[in-house]
Amino acid sequence: MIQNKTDQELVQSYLEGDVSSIETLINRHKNKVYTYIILTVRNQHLAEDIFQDTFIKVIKSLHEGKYRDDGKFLSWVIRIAHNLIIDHFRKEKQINTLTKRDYEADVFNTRKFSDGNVEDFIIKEQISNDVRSLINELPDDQKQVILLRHYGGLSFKEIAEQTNVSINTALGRMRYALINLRKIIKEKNITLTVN
Amino acid sequence: MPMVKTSTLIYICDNLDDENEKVIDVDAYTRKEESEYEVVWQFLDDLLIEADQNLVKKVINQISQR
Repeated sequence: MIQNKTDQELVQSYLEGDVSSIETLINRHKNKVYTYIILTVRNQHLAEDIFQDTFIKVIKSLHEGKYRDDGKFLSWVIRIAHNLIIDHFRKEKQINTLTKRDYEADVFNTRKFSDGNVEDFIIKEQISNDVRSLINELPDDQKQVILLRHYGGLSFKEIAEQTNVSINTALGRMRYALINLRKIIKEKNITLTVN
Repeated sequence: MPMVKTSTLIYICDNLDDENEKVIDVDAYTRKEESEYEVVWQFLDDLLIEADQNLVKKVINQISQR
């Protein structure tokens, strides 16, 4: 079964000509990569573009032999996504110009409303959007560390290198992010269920 | 008993040159960290957003055309 193969086995099969292996690999990690991107850029269309660019670059780098297997394929992909996000905002010079309202309207308007009970779907979507917006209550530097750590599985050393700060700073940001997030969650009494 | 911050231990474990080079049993600390921030990890797991399958198809189409 192709699904049982490790990331490295899938990379190897792909490089030997099996395209279905790379599709399996992308499907395995797509949600974590996409979540990292959209929570960082806060715009669905931009997130979709960066998602595609990320995997195109991943594939190009695999062909160029730039991936060194250390059992951390997802971390490597997240680092590529992170660099593409930085490149994008450097080019556009629009860091932090997207408002929370832009983000919520964008996500909400492009969802599919065709399946299931429409009312339930809308309520779930609204709850999800509210919850997602909470992550943006964290300062950007704390948010970045917690997303890289949780979705990308990066070590603190890698996070420090990726974000150009010392390891102590990365650790401190993680600690404050955890404390703040727990406080926010408690204050808002968050639940993702619809009764 | 000497005390050390959980985050410091996590850092040490992350960056050991040899993964088998366990200098201390961190299980107790790890359990404490997991339990202390369980609500946060659960929150982040719930936050996972599904990527549209069409995005994967677009990537596969692009590489197939090369």
